[in-house]
Amino acid sequence: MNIFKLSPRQTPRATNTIFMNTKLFNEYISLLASLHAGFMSQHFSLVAHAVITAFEAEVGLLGETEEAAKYAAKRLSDYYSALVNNQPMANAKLKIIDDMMAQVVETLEWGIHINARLETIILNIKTI
Amino acid sequence: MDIKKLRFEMIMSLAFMHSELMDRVITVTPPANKYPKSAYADSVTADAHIIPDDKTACLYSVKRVRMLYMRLMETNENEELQAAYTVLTVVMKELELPYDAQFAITNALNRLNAFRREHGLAASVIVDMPDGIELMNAD
Repeated sequence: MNIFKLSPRQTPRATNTIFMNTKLFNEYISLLASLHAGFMSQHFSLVAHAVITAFEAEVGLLGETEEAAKYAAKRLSDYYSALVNNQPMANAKLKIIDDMMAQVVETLEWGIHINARLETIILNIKTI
Repeated sequence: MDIKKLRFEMIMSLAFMHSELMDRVITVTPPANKYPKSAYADSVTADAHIIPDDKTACLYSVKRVRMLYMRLMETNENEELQAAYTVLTVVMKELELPYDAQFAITNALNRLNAFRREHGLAASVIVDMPDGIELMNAD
């Protein structure tokens, strides 16, 4: 698949949304939301669906933009780092999520097209 | 006041402020209104309750909401959003100082409640502590 090929339905909306692939963006956000919900539902009484709704609602405020993609990653990266640094017991799963989110944040800073970055991230998360 | 109650009250105050503010901001920046208003409050409280250290939990919550506002302000010139960003910056800086947790969180709570009063956000909220205790916000 040529990740740089643009769908004819994609139209530029604002400077930082130009050529953003909506499907890829939604898949990326859903993946992060599910990952977060999976962890949260194990530790908190909120059901996974509520966590996903809350996460998507918050990111949704920023629209389907590169800034929103970065915010979503930074928010989870900061959160899991705070947990890793405060957890009274060593938690291997927590450390894996923290490392992965740090990688996602780093990948989003790469100087390649946003769609390629999102594809790389989705692939990496799915293979872990 | 017990530090756990104080922490809970501070985070709830932030969560309610955030959810009410987003409700106002959303009216001028559609189309994010497909989610219930409570989702914004839930996203603050759920994350924070898991962090064991009281001061870290409060600081993380403030930083996170502040980061969101910083990004929202790039495309939204809402004055309340800017005022909230300013107050959250002050609260964040204060929480970062090496003060005792009780003192730091009390300060943060007072600032958030003052902001809510000044901007006509709900002055008092009744919330349920995780252990079932009902608590009325101080202001």
